[in-house]
Formats: sequence, structure tokens, C-alpha cells
Amino acid sequence: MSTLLECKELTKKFGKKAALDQIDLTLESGHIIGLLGPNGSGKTTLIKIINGLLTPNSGSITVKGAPIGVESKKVVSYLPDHTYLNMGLKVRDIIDYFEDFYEDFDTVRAYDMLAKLSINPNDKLKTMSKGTKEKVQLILVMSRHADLYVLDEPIAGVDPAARDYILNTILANYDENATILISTHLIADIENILDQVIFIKNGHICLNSSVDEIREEKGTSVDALFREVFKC
Amino acid sequence: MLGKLFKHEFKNTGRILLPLNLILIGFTLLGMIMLGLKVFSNSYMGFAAVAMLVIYIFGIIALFIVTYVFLMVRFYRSMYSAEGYLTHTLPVSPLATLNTKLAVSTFWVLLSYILCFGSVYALITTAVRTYAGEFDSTEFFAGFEDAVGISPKAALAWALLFMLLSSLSGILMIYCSISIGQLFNKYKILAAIVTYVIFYLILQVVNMIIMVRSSISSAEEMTLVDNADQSFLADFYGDVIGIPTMIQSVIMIVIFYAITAYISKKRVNLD
Repeated sequence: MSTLLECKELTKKFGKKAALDQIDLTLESGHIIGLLGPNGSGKTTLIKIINGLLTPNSGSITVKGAPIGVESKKVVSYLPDHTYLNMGLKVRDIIDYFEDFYEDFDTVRAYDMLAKLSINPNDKLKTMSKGTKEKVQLILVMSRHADLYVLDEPIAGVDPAARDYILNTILANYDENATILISTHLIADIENILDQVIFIKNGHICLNSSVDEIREEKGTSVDALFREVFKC
Repeated sequence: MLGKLFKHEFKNTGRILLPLNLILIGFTLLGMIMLGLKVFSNSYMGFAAVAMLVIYIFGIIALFIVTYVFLMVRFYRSMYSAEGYLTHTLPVSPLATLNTKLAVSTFWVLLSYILCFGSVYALITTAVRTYAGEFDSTEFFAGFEDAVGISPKAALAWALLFMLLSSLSGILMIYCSISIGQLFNKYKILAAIVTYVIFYLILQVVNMIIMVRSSISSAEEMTLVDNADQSFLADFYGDVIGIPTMIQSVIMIVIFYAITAYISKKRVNLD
């Protein structure tokens, strides 16, 4: 295990409101980590900073020792919480795009997963249902051999059967040396695959613990603990 | 990696802009054939000729509007809307992305300029050949030199440089406005439009000052010479309109590029 991601006193403000307030966080390689918190807690803000889509106001963040930039983007595979592909393109065109830009992209794996789901690579994205688009995006993201996968609400918009498929896909393509950071508030669905959880509340990290520790020391499930910590 | 950026940028823009430019070439060839066959000689066809000329002129204006609007929407979408999530997470430097988009956009605008001039030239020479016998290009170019004061080759080089600078400055003004607009937390598109209008107004004022000052000085010069010979026309276009406008374009390019590059490197804030 080695340090994959490190944040020091990371702060991001929107106007006067701090979405992230002096966050210190270290993620090691080889884990499946749940980034858990209610809406507006700062999950997506942290994820966007990791991917270079937001610029922090202060503090530092590194991935494998390098600041966010070309080097970090080579090893981070990111699934945003909404569709982000050019809807006018065919799935085949997007696979070409990923293959051209990401050295770690596995084209065979991508076509294989598409075939298993009976998705035609010659179909345009705009002709697909919302659920199918989400599956295509997940296939693209999980077809990379990345060091860090950052999945923002990967199961929020799909039915329970598709959720199972998505979670199985994540597990099936998971390399033991990689780390997966999954943001969600649907904890019960995802709890079984997590081995570490981070609770985030009002821009602060209020818990960073292994799932085993929570079960052994607190004698509760992650879902129950979440409901207790974030009780309204 | 730069080659791959170019490849995909050309692929994505060419889907719309290539057919658009091919339509212009097609219409030009059609016009040349119609002129060559003297279809407009018939007095009844006079109206049709005028109508086609009007359509042609509006078509060329539309070509430029569609090209600029398409490039503007594409820049906004690929940089600062949902698609920006992919653009900004590619393992390439923000400057490489910006430079590729700028170069490819400039290519398309410049191509439209060149095709328009080529189209007009082709139609005029065809009309002259058809209705006035031979088109003597040597005589035409000599006449051009007498009237304008510089050789056609020099004029072409100036025109190309002028088109390149005005394409670059026009595109960068749009890029810069969109980039400044996305710095706002809300109403990003509105902020981009307002920024563009402000830039436009500032440029109008600057242009007016340059024109007034230059016109006064050249009018004085003309009085001194007391003879508005051919070279005056060249001087007027070269010194009064050409040079100051080119200097202004270069200044605009530098300022707009610096702002756009800074924002795409340091101040990306995607919703």
C-alpha cells in the first residue's frame, strides 16, 4: 500500500460559503472507499477538485505526489454524476476518443462489456435511454486500468437491477492495487463492497474509518451509523 | 497528443463546417455553369438573375454567421458545459486544448474567407468571359495595380494577413467573453454576452478615434500633395485602414489570448 491521494488544509469557497473547509485527507492504494454525506456536504466539490474541474481557494492536493494536472489525469478515471459526453457521437467514436487519449484504456474490455449488455457501438448516445447512457459511461470509466477511480453517484439514477450490474462491473474490473472512491447517499446498496468510509458534513470530514472498525467498535452497520451521524 | 487533439477537433467541427463550405463551392460551380450557358440572357431571366444574386449574398453572410455561431457554441459546450468534464479531465495541458481549438477554428474561418473571395472571383471572371469575350487576366491585374497602387500579389498577401489577424481576433474575443462568463457563479451565458458587448463597445470607440485621427492626417497630406493620384488609394487602405487595424488586431489577440489562457489554466469552475 502506498499513498495515492493527499489533501492538506484544502479549502474551496463559493462566495462566502465554504464548501470544503481546511480538509486534511490521505487515501491509500488498494481500497474501495465510500465518500458519504448528505446533499450539499461537499462530496462533489472534493471530487471535482481531485479531477481538476474546480480550483481550490487554498491548501494543496496531490495524486501520487504530483499536483492536479496532466500526470494526475493519466491515473485518475472519473465518472461524473451526470451525462458528460457529446450526445451526437456514436459509442464507437467515444471509444476511439478514450483509446486515443488514455494510455491505460482497454478497448477489448470496453467492447466486451458493451456486447454483454447488448449495446450497439454504432448507436448514437442521444438515441439511448438515461440508464443505458449511464452504463456506457461506466463502461468507459471502468475500461481504464487506472490507479484511482472516482465515481460520483454511480447508482443514483438507475433501477435496482441496473445497480447490481453497476456494482458487479465495478468489482469485476477492480484491480487490487487500485483504489475506488465512490460518492453516494444510497449506502445500504453499496455497503457490502466498501472497506473504508469517509463521512463528510458541511465541508468537514467527520469520520474516516475502515468498515470493520465501525462494525467491531461501534457494533453497527455503516448505514445505521450514517443515519445516526446525519440525523436531521 | 497534440496530433490526437487536432484529429478529434477537426472531426467534430468538420461534421458541420465541411458540408457548409462544400455547399458554397457547389453553388459557385452552379453559378459558373449558368453564366457560361447564358441562361440569364433571356429578358425574362433578368429577375431570376437578381434573385439569385441576392440569395448568393445572403448565403455568404449566412455562411459566416453559422460558422462563427457554431464555433462559439462548440467552444462553450466542450469547455464549460457538461462536455467540459471530459475536456478538462483528459491528460493534456489546458494550453494544448485551447491552442488546438483556436487553430482549428481559425482554419475554418480563414477557409470560408478564402472560398468566398475565390467564389466571387470565379463568378466575375466567368461573367466577363461569357458576355465580353475573353477575360484577359494580365490586363485585369495591370489595371488593378494602376487603380490600387500595389501589385495583385502584394494585395493578396496583405489580404491573407488581414484575414488571418481578423479571424484570430474575432474568435479570441468570443473565447475570452465565454471564459470570463464562466467565472460567474450564476447566469454564465448572460455574463458572457454582456462581456462581449462591452468588448465590442470599447473596440468601436477605439476604432472611431483611430479613423478620425488618421483621416485628418491623410486629408492634410492630400491637400499638400494637391493631387489624389492612384497611390493615394493604396496609402489610404494601407496606412489609414490597414496598418492601424492590423496593429489593433494584434493587440486584441495578445490580450484576449492571455485572459483566455489564464482562465483555462487557473480558474476553471465547472458547475
